[in-house]
Formats: sequence, structure tokens, C-alpha cells
Amino acid sequence: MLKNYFVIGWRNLVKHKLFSFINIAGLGIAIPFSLLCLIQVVVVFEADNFHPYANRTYRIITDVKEANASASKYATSPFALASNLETNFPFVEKATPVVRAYGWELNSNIKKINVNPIYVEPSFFDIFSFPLEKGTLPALPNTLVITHEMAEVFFGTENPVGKTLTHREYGAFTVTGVLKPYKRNTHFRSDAMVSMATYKHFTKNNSKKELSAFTYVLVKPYTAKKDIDAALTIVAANTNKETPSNQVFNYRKQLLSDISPAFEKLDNDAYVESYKDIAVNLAMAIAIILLAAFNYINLTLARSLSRAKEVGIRKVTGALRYQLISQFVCEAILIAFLALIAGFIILNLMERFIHLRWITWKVDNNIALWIVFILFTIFTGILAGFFPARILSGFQPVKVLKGAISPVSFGKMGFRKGLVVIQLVATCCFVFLIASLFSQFKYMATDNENFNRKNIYNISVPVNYKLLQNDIAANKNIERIGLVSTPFGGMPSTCYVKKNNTENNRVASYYAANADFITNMNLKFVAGKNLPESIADSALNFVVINEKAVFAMGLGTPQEAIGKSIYLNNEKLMMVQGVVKDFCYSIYQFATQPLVMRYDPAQFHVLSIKTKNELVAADFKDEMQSVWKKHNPHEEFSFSDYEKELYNRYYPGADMQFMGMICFVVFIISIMGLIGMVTYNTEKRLKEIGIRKVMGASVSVIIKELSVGFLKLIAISGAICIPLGYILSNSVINAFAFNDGVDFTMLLMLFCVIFLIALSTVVIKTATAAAANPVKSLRTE
Amino acid sequence: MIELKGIYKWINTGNNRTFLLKDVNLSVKEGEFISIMGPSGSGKTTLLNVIGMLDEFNEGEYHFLHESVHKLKEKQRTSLYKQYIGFVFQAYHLIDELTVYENIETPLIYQNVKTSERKAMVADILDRFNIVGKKDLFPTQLSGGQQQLVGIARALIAKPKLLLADEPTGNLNSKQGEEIMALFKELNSEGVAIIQVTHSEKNASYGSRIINLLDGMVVN
Repeated sequence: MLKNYFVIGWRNLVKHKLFSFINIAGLGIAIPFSLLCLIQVVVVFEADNFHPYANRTYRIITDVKEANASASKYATSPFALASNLETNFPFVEKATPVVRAYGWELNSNIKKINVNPIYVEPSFFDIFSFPLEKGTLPALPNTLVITHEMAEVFFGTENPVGKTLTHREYGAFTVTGVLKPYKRNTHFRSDAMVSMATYKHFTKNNSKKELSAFTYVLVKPYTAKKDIDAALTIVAANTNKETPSNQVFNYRKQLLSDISPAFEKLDNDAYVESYKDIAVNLAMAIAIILLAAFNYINLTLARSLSRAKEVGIRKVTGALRYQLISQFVCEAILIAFLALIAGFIILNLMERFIHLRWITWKVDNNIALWIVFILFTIFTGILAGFFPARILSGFQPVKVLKGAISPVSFGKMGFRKGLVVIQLVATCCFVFLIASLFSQFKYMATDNENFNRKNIYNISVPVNYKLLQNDIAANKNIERIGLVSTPFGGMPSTCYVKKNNTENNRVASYYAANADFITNMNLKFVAGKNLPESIADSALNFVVINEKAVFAMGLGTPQEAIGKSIYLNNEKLMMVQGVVKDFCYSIYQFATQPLVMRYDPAQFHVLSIKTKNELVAADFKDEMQSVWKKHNPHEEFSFSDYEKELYNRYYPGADMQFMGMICFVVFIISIMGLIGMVTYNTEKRLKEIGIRKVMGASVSVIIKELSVGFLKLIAISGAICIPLGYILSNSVINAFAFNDGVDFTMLLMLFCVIFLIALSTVVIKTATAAAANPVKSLRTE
Repeated sequence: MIELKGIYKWINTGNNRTFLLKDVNLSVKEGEFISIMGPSGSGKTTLLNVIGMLDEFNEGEYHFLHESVHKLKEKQRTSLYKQYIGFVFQAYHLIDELTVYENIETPLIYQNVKTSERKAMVADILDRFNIVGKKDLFPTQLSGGQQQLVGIARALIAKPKLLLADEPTGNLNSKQGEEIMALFKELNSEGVAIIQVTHSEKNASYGSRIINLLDGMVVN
């Protein structure tokens, strides 16, 4: 029976080559992108699957309940917890803390590179599988091991073991070893693993309750889960008793394999994809397929009229409805599988030509992946095939055998016309959506409203930059030189702030900056004034904060906040000198966080130079470089054209290429569906054209009549899709907290393009039909 | 076998009611050969469709083999006509994408007959109609008479008690038409009841009874 269905399906495919091609191509182009999204989903589940004791390795997470009843969950826990567990509980074979460090820059005297390190104990390497390629594990203070990739970047082909990398604050580090290359797919993602002894040496004041570390525990085999839970309860109770505060701690265990993907939202959960991230990927996979499936449904429905006769015959020979439905769904599944083959070939081609760091192409468990692919294909087939199947199988045999045209209609409008309108609306909406997304990226890349990017050049400088700065200032092109810890647009450092000692700490973004920098960035003050220009020591205690910080700390209105003092990192008292309007200084998706900018020369690492006019960047770079060489002849000169750098960051070449490809694909699929529908529609009217010709109409008159009819449909679609498209684009754009709104003119333009394409298809097809001999079209059927 | 009592079928166009069938009474015994005749628009095809349970009627009673068809649900009706009735159309209505063999076996598939049994049954009927050599051809490769033959084979494959034929020779030339009518005569003598709609007096003469329709009513 099934075999019969597939044979018929195949023969139908071959018989109507154009429509089969459109259907297979449409699905075939959509499938690789969906497959790619599916791979990303599978990959998330495979994170950290290469460690030897995964089934008895746990991470300890912390629930914090505050007196005013807001509970938070953290992936981190107190530093002392690991040794506490290992010492006091026999079922713990080993426990180890891991601490993430931020904002490191290591200098090999030839290169200075941003590095992402974690602090680890030697026991870390007993629990997790990160084998060494060369050398030994880091144990003493100021030792570290680096990844294979980092070794190549710093030292090329030389042996890194024994060599030195310098950190600005912590001094010289000895490279004791190099790690074998490991999967990027781990939440321990890092460029270097530094000895925990270093952390202990440089970090004083580790409050018992500060959640600074990730705690991992390897329990002995056959340890009962309830024993672990009981132990955690005891430790938590002790902690709460020993250091009472209005924060009550509770510890929970998390099996290593359960860390990724995160089903509950934990703070500080670095490099772990959450449930939501997967959902986004899945949603994209489904959305792309929906578009192609929609095309399929529309086209099949339109063509259903030709198959009405077949349905009638089958019903007369005794087919029941479910048998007919099964037949048509099988045909859809057949096309879906053909599309899968085409899609898989395209996927492999894509892999060869596209190199994006955030996309993974391979998974470990290929069988699982293929099962997912096949299920997805069947799902697609059923999705696309079911609706037409249901409608087709509902035809009444007597009516269709007599030759009645349309058994289904949408009220007055008629089935065919309804489908054309639906196709147009869908095409427009998808194209609008993708174009809006594209324009959002463009906005992020060229925005100058949040902070100023124009005519700004950044130079990284060493600790004693004064002489260099003075020399540079002599350049007559320069308007002003600002100093900052790190420019806007990247990941900022964080700090803790609070109004007074009894309050809870709030996390805020932290920049060390001077007044000139703030002026260069064109930040808008809503209260108070800029940081003082003076470089006297007293200037160290002034800060400029943003409106969000004022709100978060409960300082009242921005005006009231001026002159108030706040605690920075639990110790230092700062006075609020000014409040700036909230602006986006980091990631456009997220709403602004509290921001603190403080005059702290010890942390100035970058000169932010504003030039008077627009310059040729290459020439200016040369001028700067010659000044640099005078002061730092052996160090690498890092210079960036800020506007260009941010443009590339938000509009990254490879990413944009990929994005562009997706846009193009969506556009093509939509247009193909449109052309198919319009073609089919016009072909159905061949008889009508023949009759009109016989009654005396000329070719141009026929073209005009049919086009006018089509224009009415376009008007209806426009009335539906422009508001609908606007609403959809708006909701997509608002996923970014900072956006430029929907570009209405662009939507209109796109609509016109789509409309022109549709109209041209109608005109061309009608012209061909009208020029044909009416005898032929009036003869049979 | 068939009892039609007071069958009415109408359609409402605006305020008017047009009768397609008006007070039709008909009795058909097993093994009869009946011809329904009448001018165009008299309701012949409609009557045939009603008898074949392809179409419904608005008023009246229809008993088929002592089953009250008007009281049955669609599924039950389908299984009833699947089992006992075969339909032959003027325009043959073969499925162009299927071969002769596959066209003939279609009713058997929908009755869930096993593959091996199907093969045997189709082979038998191909043999009988002398079209064995054509079993792998597609309808477009056959002449009109051959296509009609296939249509009849398909109608007969499930061994129905009643064969309904709507102008079976309408699209054929005189020689092909004669062959088809001779075949019908043969089938009838084997016990298959046949009701045919026809325009031709010659074809009607093959049957034992003629029913004349005019404007949806039976006249004499």
C-alpha cells in the first residue's frame, strides 16, 4: 500500500517538472539552514561530554534568599566550600574550586593579547580531562598553562614551556605547560589555566559568603544522592550560622551533564547555553521550514484542482478519506526526503565555504543527529502535506467528475484568489522580517547616538603613558585625548556599589575614565557635571554614574543624587559628581545596566583620541606609530579606528555574509513560491483567455484585463501585509533593547519590488497565453 | 434487489426550487438488464448516481438488498457500494499516472485485499478481456475502446452484483460500441444486474426493460 503511494507520488513528481522543482528546491534550500540550527541544538547537549567521571561529578550551585524575599540562584559558590566538602565528608573523593578572571591582557614582549583565563587547582586536572601536550601542571604562584592555540599565537613554533608572559598588575607568569587541543564545546572555555596559588596570593579579603568560585565535587562511586544533599544542607546551615546576614544560603548539586543546557536561570553561569538559546535556534529552524512548507502547501492546493478528478475516481472505486489523506501525506514526505538529500549536499558545500566561529558543523553523536534529521524531515512532510491532503480528500466525487471547477472557496473571493493573496502576504512578511533584522545590524554597526564613534582612534598604552600622551598631544590634528580602562562597545568590567553599608551590593559596569574621555564620547548629562579635570589625588574619589545606577541604588532623582556618596567594592567612598543619561555602551540586546565611571589613572589602558576633522586613518596611524616607537620601541603598537572597529564588530564580515545569505535564501524561496502560484493561476485561465480571444479581444487588451484583476489582489494583500509586516518587524526589533525602530520606507520599497515581480510574471505568462492559438486551449478537458 | 420509493431531489436557486428527480419509483430485481433513456437534462445521470450511492436525495426511500440506504452513514454507504456496485463512466475516468494493471487493482487495494490475491484476481480479468499484453501500458497509450475496457474491468474486479454504466459507448465508434454491448450481454447472462443510461435505441435493445425519464419524472 505504502509502496503504491510512493510510486504514484514519484510519477506525479516527474510529470509536473516545474512545480516539483519549485517544491523540492524551496524545501531543499530551507533545509540546510534548519539542519544547521538543529546541529547547534544537539551540540549544546554535548557540552563537556569528554570528562571521565561525568556520572559522579557535580557542580554546587547556590540559592540565596534575601530578607526582603527576593530569591536568586547562582552558578557560583563561596571559595571555601570546596575544601570544606573535601575535608569533612568522606564520600567526597575530590573537590576543587574554579575561579574565572576577566579583562586579562598578557604580554610576551612581542605581542600583547587579550586572554580569557580561569584559576584552577592541580586537582582540577584529576577530575576533568584536559591533558597536557607539553610540560607540567601549574601549581606555584604566577604559573599557568596555555591552550595549544594560544601557544601558537604567542610563541609560534617555539616551545612555550619555561617562557614568561607578563600581566600588568600581577607581574610575570611562567608558562609551565601547553594543553592539548580540546573541544571548544565546554563551559570551562578559556585560553589559559592559571594556578590557584596565584589567585590566593593576590586576592585578599575573601568573605566567607562571596560567591566567587565555581565548586566541583567528585564523589566516590555508589554514593547515594541523598547523602550529598544532606551534606550540602549541613554546610549551608553552618555557613548561615557562622556569618549571619540578611542573605540565607542553600546549596544544591548539579550533575556535570545537566549543566548544559541550563534549564533554570543561574547568575554567573558563564559559557552555558540556556534553554532559551536553544529555543531560539529551534524556533529559527522551524520558521525557515515553515516558510518553505507554506510555499509547498499553497502550490499544492493550487494544483489540487488538477488532481480533483483523480480524487473523484479514487473515491468512486471505494477509497475512504483516511486512505486519501495518507496518500497525499506520503507524497509530501517523498518530496521532503528528496529535499533532505538536496539540503544535505548544500549543507556540506556551505561548510566548506563558510567559516564562522559561533557555528559548529560537527557533532560527536552522528547517529543521534541523523535520527533528528530524519524525524525532522518526516515532520516537515506531514506538516506540509496534511492540510492539502485534508482538503483534497474532501472533494465530492460527483461534483469533480462532472467537472465543477472549485469545490472550496473563501467566501466570495474564491479559492484560487484567496491562495494568491495568502502567498503574497506571506512573502512580504518574511521579506520584511529579514530586512528589518538586517537593518538592525546596520544600525548597531553605524550608530553614533549612544556614544560618539566618529573621528575617534584608540591606542593601547602601558602603565607609564604620560610622556607618550604629551608627545601625541603635540600633533596638530588632535582635538582632545581621553583616557579610559577599556573603550565602550566591549564587555565592561564590573564592580559592586551600594548607597550605604547596610544595603545590598548592586552589580554595576565599571570604567576608569577621565573627563576628556566622557566629553569625547558625547555623553549627555542630566544632572551635575563631568569629572574634575584636575589630576590631584582627591580626584580619585569622584564618579559619574548613569540614571540606571541612581535608580538601582535608590538615590532618588538624578538631581538629588549629586553630592551623595556611595560605596564602591565595599570599601571606598565615592562622591557622585554627575549623572549621565542611560545609553548603550555594550550589547544592544540588553537594557542598560548601572554604570560607574571613575577617575582612576592606575587603570587607564587606552588613549581615546578625538581628531579635529576626518582624517585618512592610515596616515594618522603612521604618525602615531612613529611617536610610539620613540617611547616603546620593542612593544607592539595597537591602534584602532574606533568607528571602523565597531562597524566590524557589529557587522562582522563573515557573520554578515552569512546573514546576507539567509536573507537571500528567504527572499528566493518566497519569490519562487510567488512565481509558482502566479504561473499556475494564469495557466488555469488559459481557457478563459482562449474564449476572450475568440470573442475578439486583442493580445494587449487581454493582458490589461488579467493584470487589472491581479492588481486588485495585490491591493488587498498590501492592505493586509503592510500593517502585519510592520507589527512583526516591530516585535523582532524590540528583542533588542536599543534599536532604531522599523524603517517604514524600506518596507514600502520591498513591497513594491515584490509587487513588480508578481506583476511581471502575470504579464509575461498572459502574453504567452494570449499569443497562442485559441483553438488549442479550447479543445480538450 | 433495488427499491426506490418516492424519490425526490431538488436544488434551490434563489426562491425557486428546481426538481432534478420528481417522485421516482423503481424496482430492480437481481440479474435484470435495464436501460434508462430520455432527452438531455432529464435526470438520467442523476438517477444513476443516486442508485450508485454517489449522490444523495432529498425525499423518499431507497432500499438496496434490504438495507435502507437513506438511513446509513457515509462510511457504511461507502462499504456497501464498494462491495456490490461497479461504476462505468462515459469518459472512462482512468488515472493517467497508473498502468492498466494498477488501475484495475485500485478497488481491491481500498478493500484491503492481500497482494497475492490481488495479483490473481487482476490476472484473471485481464485474461478474460484479452488485454494481458497491455497491463503495463498507461491509459494515454491505449485507444478509446481499450480504455473503456479497462474501465469496465476495474468496475468488475470486485465481483459486484450491480453494474452501473453512464453512456458507456458515448465516446466510441460503432464497432467498439458493439463489442462493449456484447460484453455487457455476456456479463448479464452470468448474473450481474446492469443499469445503463443511453441515448441509442440500438444499445437499449440489448436490455430487457426500458425506463424513460422526462424532466426528472418517469414516463411511459
